[in-house]
Amino acid sequence: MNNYVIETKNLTKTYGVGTSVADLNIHIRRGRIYGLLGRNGAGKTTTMKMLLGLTRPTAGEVFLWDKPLRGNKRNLLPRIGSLIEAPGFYPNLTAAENLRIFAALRGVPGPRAIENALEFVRLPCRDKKLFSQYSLGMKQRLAIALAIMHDPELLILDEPMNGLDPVGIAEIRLFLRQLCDGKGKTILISSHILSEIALLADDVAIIDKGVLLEEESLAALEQRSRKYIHFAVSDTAQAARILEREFGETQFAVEDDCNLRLYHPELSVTKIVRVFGENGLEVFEAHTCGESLEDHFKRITGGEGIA
Amino acid sequence: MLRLLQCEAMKLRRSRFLLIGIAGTLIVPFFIIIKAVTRYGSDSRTVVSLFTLYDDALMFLMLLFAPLVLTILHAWIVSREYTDGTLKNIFVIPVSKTAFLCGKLLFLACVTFAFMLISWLEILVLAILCSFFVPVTDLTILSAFFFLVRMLSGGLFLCATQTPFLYLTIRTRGFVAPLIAAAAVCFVNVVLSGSPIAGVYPWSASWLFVCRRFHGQSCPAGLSAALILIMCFWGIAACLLRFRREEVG
Repeated sequence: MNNYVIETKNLTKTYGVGTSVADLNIHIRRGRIYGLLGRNGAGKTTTMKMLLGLTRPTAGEVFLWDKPLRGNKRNLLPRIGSLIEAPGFYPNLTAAENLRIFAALRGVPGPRAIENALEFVRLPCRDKKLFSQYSLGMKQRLAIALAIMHDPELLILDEPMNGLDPVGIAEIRLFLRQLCDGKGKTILISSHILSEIALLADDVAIIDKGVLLEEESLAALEQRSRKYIHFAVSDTAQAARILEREFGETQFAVEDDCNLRLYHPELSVTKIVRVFGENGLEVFEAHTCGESLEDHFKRITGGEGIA
Repeated sequence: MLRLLQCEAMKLRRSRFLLIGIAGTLIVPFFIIIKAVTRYGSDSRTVVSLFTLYDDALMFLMLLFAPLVLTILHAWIVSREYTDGTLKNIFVIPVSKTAFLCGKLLFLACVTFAFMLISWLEILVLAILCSFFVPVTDLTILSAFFFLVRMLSGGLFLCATQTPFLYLTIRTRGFVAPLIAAAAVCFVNVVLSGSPIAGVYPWSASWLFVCRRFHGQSCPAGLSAALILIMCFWGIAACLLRFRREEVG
């Protein structure tokens, strides 16, 4: 018995020859906000779909509250609220009418739950406006209302801030925080926007090309944001060879022809500069720097794509 | 199941498609009456009979119009769950896919019966209105009731013969393929309707059953009934199997 609300074991999804998610092992603790961060197409949505049973995994298993999802859907799904991809509703109905249908299917009693959910996302309950006439932001708000309407213990939200204006984003962020801190809800939220996850999540998983690169608490990650020594030299290829040969160092990254980062700040800068000089290398700059969270994510995912 | 049916009905609120469907329902009875009155106008010895009106209506509805209109309506009711992206909200609700699809099938059956009921009612109303201007024979409660039963039995046969189109809708997640298939089926219906082998073709055979026209058929009624039943069960089973495997991709 552990304290994980969601646990996956070697979760894999392949489509034809392509692998969308590969051997994913994530662990989401009770009462925490867990941010799934990755570039577009990293496998975040596929992962969430597998967690909800919307897509069958090719291999591996999903455990929710220590129970395998397979064979327990009817007991587990009522405890989850979800928002996956673009909001899907009936365009000829109003927000309240749409929610009424899903409330009836879910067996949510009374109209109060619908009113509360709409009130929370600041959509008027008695509005005559049809879903087809909604802006993207309003559609997203309605999708969030649907996810929270039945007061679930676990929320799985796929890019929930999409289309919301800055005020709306701040409101939703505050509400999700309140749900987590005040009511002990567990929230899994995906995003490709680092700042969004950094402001909201307690734990972060970084996923790229379907592979989990890192799973850590945000606090630990921030603390671990690596310091490095930045060198501006005449030839980074030669510098790299010297670092390997003279210092047995492999923890470095060549940025371009002139710039190199050494992720071992404990080494003596003076000594390295001296050895570079002895090997005929010109050193223009050498100083210790801290790596921002964003730089860290870019580095481990191998490039751009996370704002 | 009642809850599922209520939800299906709620989804159709303010739906233009439904209005178009109802308007489509009115077309056949209207033109049947126009045809009968015009014929009477050109030759006053001809008789406008309620029997003829219903018989003609059943022929046009069963062979041509209903398969097309109902395929459009049914396919739209099912395919909109894909196109509107609502399945991802439904599949996370603890309602099994089988129950959901059975609810849909039941609702589509209701739509079919409503279609036939509206057609029956329209013919009756138009025949009563006509009777103020031209003589309409057999206009009695008994004959109206007799044809109500026939129209509803026509609805039952239509439900049975619509299942392959429903499977196509689920398979292709749209209504183009089932509509083309329905058009092809109607074309064959027209070709076969007067032939002695119409009984082997389930859609034509349905009309033969409803209008009791099996005399002169080379295919025994039992075989026709078996073919219709096999097709119906195959259609339902294929729909269920396919839908149970459905994933939100």
